[in-house]
Amino acid sequence: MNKLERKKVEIPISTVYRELETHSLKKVFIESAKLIRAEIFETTPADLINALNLIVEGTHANEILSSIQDAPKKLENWLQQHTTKWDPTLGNKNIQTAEQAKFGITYCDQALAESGTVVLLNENNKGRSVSLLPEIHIVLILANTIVPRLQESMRKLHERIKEGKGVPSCINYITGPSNSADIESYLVVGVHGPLRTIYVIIEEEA
Amino acid sequence: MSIKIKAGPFKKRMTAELKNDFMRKAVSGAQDGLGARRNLATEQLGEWEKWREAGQEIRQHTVNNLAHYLEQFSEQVTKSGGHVYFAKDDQEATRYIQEVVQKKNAKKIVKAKSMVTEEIGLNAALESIGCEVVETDLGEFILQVDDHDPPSHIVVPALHKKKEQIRDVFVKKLGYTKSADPDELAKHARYTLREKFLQADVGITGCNFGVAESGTICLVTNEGNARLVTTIPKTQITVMGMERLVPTFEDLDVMVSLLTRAAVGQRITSYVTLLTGPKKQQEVDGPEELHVVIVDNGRSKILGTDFQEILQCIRCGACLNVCPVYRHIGGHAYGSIYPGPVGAVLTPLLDGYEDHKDLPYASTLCGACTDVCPVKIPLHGLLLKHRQVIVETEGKAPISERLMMKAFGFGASTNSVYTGGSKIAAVSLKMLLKNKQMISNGPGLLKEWTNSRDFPTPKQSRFRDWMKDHEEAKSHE
Repeated sequence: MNKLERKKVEIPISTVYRELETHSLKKVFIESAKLIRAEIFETTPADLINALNLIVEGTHANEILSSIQDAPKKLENWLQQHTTKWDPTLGNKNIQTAEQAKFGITYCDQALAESGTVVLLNENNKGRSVSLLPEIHIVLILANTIVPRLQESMRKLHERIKEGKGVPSCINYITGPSNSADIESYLVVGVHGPLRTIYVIIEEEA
Repeated sequence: MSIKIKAGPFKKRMTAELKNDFMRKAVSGAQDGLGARRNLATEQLGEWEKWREAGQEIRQHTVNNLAHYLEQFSEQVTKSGGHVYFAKDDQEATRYIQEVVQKKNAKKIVKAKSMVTEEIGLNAALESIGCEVVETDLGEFILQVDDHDPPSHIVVPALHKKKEQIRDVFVKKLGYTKSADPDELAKHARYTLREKFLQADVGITGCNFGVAESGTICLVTNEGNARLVTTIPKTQITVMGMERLVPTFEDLDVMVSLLTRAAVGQRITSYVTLLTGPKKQQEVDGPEELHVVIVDNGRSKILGTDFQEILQCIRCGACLNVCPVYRHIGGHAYGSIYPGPVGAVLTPLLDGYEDHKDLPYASTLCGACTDVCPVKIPLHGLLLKHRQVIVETEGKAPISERLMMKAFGFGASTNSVYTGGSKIAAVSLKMLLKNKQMISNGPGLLKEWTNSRDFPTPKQSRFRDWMKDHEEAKSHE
C-alpha cells in the first residue's frame, strides 16, 4: 500500500504541562483522581500489604479476584493467601468468579496525571473482567508510571505499531467508577461497571 | 427504527413538541448544564482554538483520503484476525449481520449505544429473525423498554423523559417496585442487564473512531456497558460509519481530547476502550470472533460535494447543546435520529430532501453551532447551502421561508453581513411588532415560536438611543 504524504499536525499544549512545572506528576494525578470520585490510598512498597489488608478487611478470598503478574515476593504471597487468582487454565470459570467478586485487583501499566486515568494493557492474560465485573475495582499504581496525559500514552502505542510490534487486543483507559447522567441529567455513580474505584499509589520513600 | 422517527409534516411535529413543557425544561436545563461543563473543560485544557484547528486538520485530511485510510484500516482489522464487510446501504449491512447471527445460531444479543445501528434499523432486522436485542446504555434501555420511544439527543437519548415516567414504565414492564429516584432506577437496570450480558451470544457496538494504522476500534463511554458487550459474548459485531477513521494513535489523542470535552465537558470519560482484533488464543475473555461492518448508506455521495465537511463530524452533540431551535422544539420534532444542527445538515443528505426539506429552515443561522463545533464544521453555512439547493431545485421557497431568509437568515449568516443585515432585519420584522419590544406573531417558522412565547426583536436602535428613551420613560412614571 502506498504511503500517503502528510503534513505533521501540531498538537497544542495542554495546561497540565504548566502545572507540572511546579507540582509532581503524582500530586497532579491525585488532584485529578479526586475529581472523578476515585478513592485514593498512598503507600510505599514496604507498607503495601498493610494498605491492602485495610481495604479488603473481613472479605473472604473467594470474593477477591486478582490478576497481577510478576508481583514482588511479598505481594505474591499475600495474593496467594487472600485472593482468588485469575487462572487462564480455568477458562470461563474466571468470569463467574469475577461476576461474584466484591473486589477485583489489577495493576496499571500507565497512569495519566491530567485526567486521573489508569491504563490497563490487557495482554498476557490480565483479563478484561477483573476491572469490570466486581463491585469494587482496586488498581495498584506505581508512581513512576504516571505520565502527563493521553498524548504520551498514545504516542507509545503509535511507536509500537511503527516498530511492527502490534498492540494488545484490549486496552482500557479507566477513569474512576462507572457513571451515567441519562436520567434527568442527574449523575448516578456505578451503572454497569464497578460501583467504586480505589487507586493504591505506591511510591518509594524519598 | 431507521433514520426517520416521526411521520407528518415538520410544522405539526414542532407544534406538538412546543406544548411539551417538561421536555422543553429538560432540554434547556441540559443545554445549560452541558454548556457550562464544556466551557470549563475547554478552558482547563487551554488553547482550545488550536485544539479545534488540529481536530479539523486531522478530520479533513482523513476525509480527503478516505479510500486510502479505509483500505489501511480494513487490512489491519483482517491482519489482527477480524472480518471486515463493506455495506453499500442499510439493507446490505443488516443482511450481513443477520447472516453472522444466524451462522452462530445466536438468539440473545446485547448492544451498546450506536447511532449508525439506529440509522440502518438493525434492531428490527434482528428481531425479525427471532432474536432478542437488548439495548444496554441506560438511556437507550429506558427508551427500548418504553415501547421503542425514539432518542431525542445523540449523546443523552432519553433527555425528554421524566424520572416518574421512567418509574412507571419500569413498574409496568419490568416488575419494578421502588421509587423514581435515579439511583434506584439505575440499580434496577444494572441488575436486569447484568443477567442479559451474562447470557448473550453476540455483542454489538458502534465505533467512535477506527484507527487506520492498527485496525483498532475506539469506544468512548461512561457506563461501562460497551466494555461488557465486548468482554462476555463470544461474537462481537462493530458497526461503523465509513467516515469514522483517524490515521494514527497520535491523531486519536487529539480526537478523544476534543470529543469528551465537547460532548460532556469531561477531561476523559470513565472508559475509553481500544479493541484490536478478537481475543488472542490464550486469553480468557473477549470475543472469539470479530466482525467490523463499515456502512456507507449515502455517505460516499457527500464526498466531493459542497457538503463534504459534514463528514468531519464526531457525533459529540455540542451543536445540539447550543442551538436555540433545538432548545425550544427538542429532538423529536426533527423527525430524524440525528436532530439539532448536525441532523438538519446530515439528514437531507442521507435520506433525501423529499421528507426533510424543512430541516434546513429549523435554524436561526445564529452560528452558535459553528462556533462550538470541535472540528470546525461550518454548520450554519451548510444549512444555508441546503436552502440554496432547495430554492434552486424547487425554483422558489415558500413565502414564509423567503421572508425568513431576508429578515433573519441572510443577516445572521456571517459576521460582516450581520452588522448590515440586522438593519434589514429590523425593518422587515417591524410590521410584526406588538410593542416594538417583542415579536408576538412572527411569520413561518417564527410563528411556531411566537405562539408559545414572544421573540426578542433585532436591535432597532442604537443602545445609546434606547438608553435615552428608557431614561425618559422612567422620568414620566
